[in-house]
Order: sequence, then structure tokens, then C-alpha cells
Amino acid sequence: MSSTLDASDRSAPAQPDSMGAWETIRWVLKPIASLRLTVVLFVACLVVVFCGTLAQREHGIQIVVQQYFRSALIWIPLRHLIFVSVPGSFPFPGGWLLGTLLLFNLIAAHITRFRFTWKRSGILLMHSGVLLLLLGELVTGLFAVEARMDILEGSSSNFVYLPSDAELAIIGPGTGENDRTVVIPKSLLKPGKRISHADLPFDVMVDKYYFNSRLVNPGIGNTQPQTHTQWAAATPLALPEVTGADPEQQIDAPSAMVSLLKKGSDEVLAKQTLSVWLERVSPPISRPFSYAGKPYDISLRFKRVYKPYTIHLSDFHHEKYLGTALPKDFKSEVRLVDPSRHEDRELAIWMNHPLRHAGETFYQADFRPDNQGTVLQVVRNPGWLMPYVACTLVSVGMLIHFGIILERFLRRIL
Amino acid sequence: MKAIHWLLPSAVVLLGALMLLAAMRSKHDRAGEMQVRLFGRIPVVQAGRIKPMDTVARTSLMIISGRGEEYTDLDGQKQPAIRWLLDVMSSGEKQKDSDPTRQLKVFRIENDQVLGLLHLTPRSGFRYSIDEIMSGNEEQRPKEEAEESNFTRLTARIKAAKEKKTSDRDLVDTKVLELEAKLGLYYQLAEKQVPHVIPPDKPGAEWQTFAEAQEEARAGGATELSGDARLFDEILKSYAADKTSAFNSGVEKYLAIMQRTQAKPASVASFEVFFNNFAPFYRSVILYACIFFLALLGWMVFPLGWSRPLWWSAFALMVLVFAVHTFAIIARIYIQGRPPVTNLYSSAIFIGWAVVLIGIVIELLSRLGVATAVAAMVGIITLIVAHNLGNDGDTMEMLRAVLDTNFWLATHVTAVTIGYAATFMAGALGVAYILLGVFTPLLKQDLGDVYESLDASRPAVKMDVAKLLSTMTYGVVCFAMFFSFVGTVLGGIWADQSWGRFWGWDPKENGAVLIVIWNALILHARWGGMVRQRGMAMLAVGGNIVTVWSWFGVNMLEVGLHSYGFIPSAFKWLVVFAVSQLAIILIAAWPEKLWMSYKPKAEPPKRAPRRTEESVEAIVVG
Repeated sequence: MSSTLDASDRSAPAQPDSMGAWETIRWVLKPIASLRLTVVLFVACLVVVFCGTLAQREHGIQIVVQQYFRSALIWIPLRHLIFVSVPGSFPFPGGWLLGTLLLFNLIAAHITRFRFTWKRSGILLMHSGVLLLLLGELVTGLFAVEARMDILEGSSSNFVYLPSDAELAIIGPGTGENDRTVVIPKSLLKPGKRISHADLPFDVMVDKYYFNSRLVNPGIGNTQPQTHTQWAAATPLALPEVTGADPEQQIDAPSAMVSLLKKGSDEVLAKQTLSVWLERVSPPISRPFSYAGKPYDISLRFKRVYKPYTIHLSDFHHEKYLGTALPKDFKSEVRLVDPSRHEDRELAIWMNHPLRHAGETFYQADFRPDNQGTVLQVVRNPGWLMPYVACTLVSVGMLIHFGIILERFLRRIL
Repeated sequence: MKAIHWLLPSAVVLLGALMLLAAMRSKHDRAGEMQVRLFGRIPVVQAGRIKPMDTVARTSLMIISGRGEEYTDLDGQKQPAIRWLLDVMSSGEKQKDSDPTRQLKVFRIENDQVLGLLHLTPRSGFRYSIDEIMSGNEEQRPKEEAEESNFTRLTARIKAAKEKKTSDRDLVDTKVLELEAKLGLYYQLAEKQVPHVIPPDKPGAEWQTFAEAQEEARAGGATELSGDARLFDEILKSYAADKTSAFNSGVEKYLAIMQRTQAKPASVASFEVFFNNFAPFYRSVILYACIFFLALLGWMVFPLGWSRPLWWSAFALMVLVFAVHTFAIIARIYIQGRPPVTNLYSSAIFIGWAVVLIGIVIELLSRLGVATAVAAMVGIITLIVAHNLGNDGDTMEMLRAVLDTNFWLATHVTAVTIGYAATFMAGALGVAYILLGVFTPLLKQDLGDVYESLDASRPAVKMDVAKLLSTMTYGVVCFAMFFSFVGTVLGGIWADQSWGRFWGWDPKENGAVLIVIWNALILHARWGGMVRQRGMAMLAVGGNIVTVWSWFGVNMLEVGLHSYGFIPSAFKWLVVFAVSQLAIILIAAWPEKLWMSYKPKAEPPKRAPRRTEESVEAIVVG
């Protein structure tokens, strides 16, 4: 009674032969524009969101987002729906497919039933907001990059790392970061894989690769290394992939065992244990290796992206509430130096107060053990403004539309 | 007959107001006795918040014994929590074996395996003393274990539980660790490591615990304490030695100093003591129950034409209780210096409040007693839920850094919570529609007739009760849609501001978006003519399940930045609630001829309700 959006839904279908191009388009679009389809798609969205939540008990949030929300087709395990551990799964449209269908449904609805009147202005506004919101999620899914930057107090950093990606870096003799570093991406780090590179006088063979791991003291009951020497001698222990449900660990920490081989032969020059954990020890532990009189340094690290700017951490505060371990505030006092933009300024980044610079946003995310430094989340998202606009459109649209409904109702009842 | 229309409501409101006033009266200890309640007014810092000693006593006793208000002393008398705290804090002044505090049965241990471990037998109330925990019941102890003390066994069991990962712990592990937390709190209080009682003596300094003050004095080479610490020490010593007048004058002197040096905290603490004694939420639950039954009674006597005074009484009382509920929320805002919703407990209270507010508005529009009854029922349920959530201790806990922003708490959290409340209200109206329709003939009553029988002056409305209820539900769904959407998106903007991710598909976000989609689904299904009155009532009841999932269910996944922690016992209630709502939906799915309101024999030739539905349809189409 209160909406006129579906007013033409129930009128008898027009005859296609007796109409012009516009009518033909409308006739074709009509089934796509159906409100029934909208409701069915909503139900499907409910299923995907619900299952995508339950799936986070078993998998990391990133993996779930890729599998359920940023995909066209998903296989939902049956155990999610009946809460009993049974094998088997069923196919279901994924988030991107549903989003696209909803978009078509929405646009078709507006084309076939388009009539711009004051009464419908609310619907138009809110639907254009919804459209923008869906597109915003698409832009984010396609283009947003979330990285991190760790800076120890009193030192600087000019690179960010991607915690979801790892790389094997071999730093050779020479000058300049790019000249002397050979980086092997994670996709090549597979057990039994031999990697040759023109810039390297030796080959690298991956013996073992641990997707997620922790380092333990060899032999003594898997205890965690305490001293620097123990860290250097520690061996990796495979861990299951991090789930969204684990509050203690947020990101997978890969490790690897590699052999360095003489080029063109199977002669093993050295064997090394590498882990991203070793990067976190202070000072970081590297694996030096010398070949043909030249020094090399081998490490497994989170994938790095070097930046034209440097951030120096002057001071890091970590306040707690009196008598508790509950964090009250984290704050990083930093100096940002960006020669490419002729910038050199001092500023503070703290909770809910990010820094926006060069299309990237820096957020206070975490802190290094013992408050030795800060961890910043560095996000590049070209679509970051879209939700703000979308939200405003939908809110205003709803206010208008529901206001009209309310007014009409009050006139009837009072 | 006319007089009763205002006499009964006035009498009911007066009665309610008297009950509330009686509860507001501040409690005092009898003159000439130890003024322990006065001691309760001393401001201290615990868990990062300035609060009165009284709150420390209540929350600690709540954690330890499961009841915060009072306990049973050795003579079987009920005593206020503050006396227990004084007993515990002054226990250091007594010899260990002659300390009666150690015999107070306050530790609640209800798990029989933990009791077995300690050689204790289950008893009514499940409360045990420290001495019992440490030595156990001699008769229960097997011979071969005679050498090993309870303490050794308990410590070993705690150690084993701690070594497991959180997710691997079983019920006994959890219960043993709970007991450890209770014992830990007790010893911290006894050794005065908690709370921070000594205020800073110079600007920039922090509050100190009594133990720290002692340590500092010792480190400074002083043989005696000085300043506030010394006075506090004297208070505890005179309490332990049963010196009434010394204790009373000590407390008075201490409070006077506090009022001078810590004026604001002292006055807030004093207000908090009043708030604790008043227990406004407890009073509200009782009154909401009265309101519910008054409104229900109104429907029962409908054939006699006596409904109106009863509905008015229920409504007037609801306005009064709503005022108390509002006062209580504002009081919490004042004490905490925070917007109304900061944790699960306060969200429950706020949902109840918002539902009652919506109920008042709807009742004013519909005057059927239904909105009153429904809102009162939701008020009762949410306050009981809140009470159970408050069992962990202080309900005004501090917020971790990322949540420490009044702006977003006031906007995002409040909007989302109103969205929850409105969705619940729509669901509750749906339940009312279904129950009234299936089990009573009231749904098909013509509104014009209803109002006429109650109040001839009211203009005739061409609607039946079903139509009005359904329209109300629809309106509330629209309201819910707006607030849940705006709240959810504001949450996204907050997330973008604090960690650069507008939307992370985190379980709590997913829960919120489920509510938004559900409400959108109801509205589109209605606009598309896929559901009518009955279908919308069923969908609205489904909204209850979706909302409760978003509110609590996702916290039980132990995932996400929003999680407040794992609450296993609540899971059972979540399932019970969901099943009850499903049952109501199933009842609604009965063929209409089984509905009492739509039984064909009531009006066989006309099938009046049917016609109403068709006319609704006509409006939708036209």
C-alpha cells in the first residue's frame, strides 16, 4: 500500500509485437526487474553471509572473504548449515555473482518502472546509494591493498610489507637495495623446486616450506626460544593455518628450509633454516652465506614494497588503564620525510586518528613486543570515499521515503 | 463508570511511584553501630575506573559468590556486600586460624567435578568457605590421598588447565580457572593489592594500592605510614578490633578529606552508591511485569467492556517505569562519562529502553494495549538478559583503546542498538499478531467497534485489529531498516577511520548486515505482494532470530575485533530462543481456518477478514 515502486508489476504483460523499441526493452527487462528476484537474491545473500561467518571458525578471514564474498561460485560445506560434522558440500552463488545480479535487478527495476516523482525520490536516492555501496565494495575488492609497516623506536622505515605474502630475499654484494637484492616470490617457494637466477652464482632449492609455523628449540619439548642464540638455532614447527577465530595469532608466519646448490650440479653448498620469525627477533637474525669470496645474506620475509618516503618513529606511547592490562591508548610520534613531494613534517598517528599521505592511509594498528616500536597499517584504497557518499544517499533516501510512508499512515489513523 | 477511567490509572501510578520512592531511600546503618555503608562511599580506582568501595564490594562478591548484593554471615544473617569487603580487607589484622572471614561461605562452586577434586559435597546454594576449599571435607577424602593437600591438587589442576590452548579447554578446565580467578580476587583484596585506594598526593601522580603505599613507605625508610594511607590503615585496624567509634570517626574523617581533595570523584562515587542501592533495573523488571499483566488483563475483560481503564493503567505505569529506565541510563552515562552503550550489558539495557520508547509511541497511536504488553515483555526479557550478563562483575568496564571514542560510540553503537531494538519490536508485534490470531478471536475485531466500545468520542477507523497490528509492524520494520542500515554503515566508517577497512566481513559486521538484509527482504516482499499480514508477521518473528544471532551469536564464534568473549551458558538460551521463535512461525503457518480469529463459523457468509485483506491488496496495487 505504501510503495508505488511495484505499481506496474501486477498489470497484465504487454504484447511485444505492438510496441516500439523502448517497450521492447522494458518487456525484456521486466523479468530481471522482478521484486521476486530481489527477495530471492536477498535470501541467497543471507545464506552466503551466514555461512561466510561460520566459515571463519575454520579459516582466516582473508581466505573466507576471497572464497565467499569475492567469488562467483562457492562450495558451502553441509556441516555449516546443520551444525553436525558431515562430509559433503553444495554449490552456491558467491558474493560477486549475487552482487552483480542485485545490481542488474536494481537497474532493470529503475529502467522499467522509472517515473521521477517526488514520491519516488527517496527510493531513487537510496537505491543509487546502494548501487554505489556495491560498486565501492567491488573497487575495494579489486584495488585495495592492505600492508603493514613496523618501525622500532628511534629508527626509520621506507618499506611496507604484505603479511599475507612472503618472499625469499638474497642480498648480495653491491650498492643500492634494488641492485643487489634478488627476490623470489612465494609462488616459487615449493618443496623440491630448484630456483635459478641470472644474478645469482648459485641455485636455491626449497626443501620444506611451512605455510604457518612457529620456531622451537630443537629437541627440548618444543619450547619457545628465549635467547638470541636459541632463536638462531631454532627449528620450524608446522602450525595449522590461522583461523579468523584465533584471537592469539592474526597472521600466518611462514618458514622454510632451503639448500643452496652449486649452479649446474647437485652439490649442496649450505643448508639454511629461514623464517619470518627471525626478522622479528631484535636484532633480526640473518643467514650470511659466502660464495666465491662474496658475502650474501639470505632471509625469508613478508613481501616488501619499497616507498619513496621514510617514516621515522621518534616516540611510541602505550598507555594502559590503571590496575589493568587493558590498552588505553597507542600513539606514534613520527617524522614523515618524502623527497618526491618535498615533504618533511612531524606528526602523530594514534587510535582513530590516521595519517593520509600520497593516496595511502596510515593507521595505528599494533605494537612490537615490549613496546619497542609501532606497527602501522598502511592502506591504499582508491574507493575509500565511496561508502561515505553512498551512506549519505541511502540515509537521506530512507528518511524521505519512510517519512512519506509515516505521513500517509498518520493521516489514515489520526 | 467514568471515574474509573482515571481513578484506576492514577492509583496504579501512585502505587508504582511509592514503591520506587521506597527503593530510593538511602540505607543507613543504625546509629551507634559501625557505619559500614559510609565506608562504602569512599572513592577508589579499580580496573581503571573511579568507583565507590561499595561497587568494588558488590562486583567482587558477585564474581565470587554469584550474588552481589548481600551474603550470609556466620550467624545466618544477611549482610551487605560492603561488610564482607571490610572483613576481607581487614583480615590481615587477624591471626589466620582465628579469622572468621575464612569461614564465610561465599565461594560459589557448582561444578561437581571441581567439588570432587576438593573433596566437597554439593550443597544447596553451592557456596563454600576458603577453609573448606583449602582443607576439604575430611569424610570425603579417600585414604590414599590423605597426604596430598587440596591446595596441591588444585594448583596442579589449574596448571594443567592453563597449559592448554583456550580452544582446547573443557568445562572442568574452565571451571577450575574460574575458581582460580575467584581465589585470586579474594587474595588480592585481602592483601590490598586491589583496589587503588590511596589518591595521588601530588598532581600527575597515580592512585596507589594500599600495598604499594606500604611498600613505598618501607622503601623510603619510614617505620610508619603517613597521610591518607595511615588513616586508611587505622580504619581497617579499628574495624578488625571492633572499635566502633574509632572506625566511624576514621571513615568520616577520611571521607571529608576525599571530598576536599577528590571532590568530583567523591561526589560521583557517592551518587553511584545511591544508584547501587536504588537498583533501578531490578525495580523496572518488577514493574514491567505488572504492566504486562495489566495489559493482558485488559484483553481478557474485553467482552465486558472494561479494557480501557486497565490499558490506560498499564500505559501510565509504563510511562513512569520508562522515566526510571531513562534515569538509570542517564545515571550510567554520568557515572561512566560515556554514551549509553559500551558493552553487551549496556546494549541489553538500551535495547529494552528503546523498545519501550517505541512501544509508548505505538500505544499512543493504536490504543489497543498490545504495544504496551509487547514492549513490557521485551523490557522484562532484555533486563533479565542484562542481569545475567552483569554477573562477571563491574558492568561499567573501561574500553580498550580502539573503542575509546565517544563520538563513534554515540553514533554507530547507538544507531545499531536502536536498529536491534526496532527489529525486536517488530518481531514482538509479529508474535502478538500470531498469538492473538491463533488463540483469540480478537484479530478480526473491527477497530471502529473496539474504539467505540471504549470511547465513543473517537472517530471511527475503518480497519480491523489485524490490519492495524500489521501496519504497525510494517512501520517499525521501516524504522528498524533505517537505523540498522545507518548504524552498520557508520560502523564501516569508524572501521575505515581506525584501521582503514570500511568493510572487513568480520562476524559482527556480517551479523549487522544480516539484519539490514532481513529488514530489506521484509519490505521488498511486502511491496512485491509476496507476503501480506500473516507472512509479514512470520518474517518479523524471523527477524528476532536474526537479531539475536547478530547480538549474541557472533560473539560465541570467538572471532572478530568486536567480540566480547565466549559465553557458553548463553549459547543454550540462544538456541532456546531461536527454537521458540521458529515454533511461533510454525504456528503461524497453520491454515487460516484453524486460527481462532479467522474461524469460518464466526462469520461464515461474509468472511470479513478476507475482505479486509483484499482491500489491503487493492491499496497495494492501486
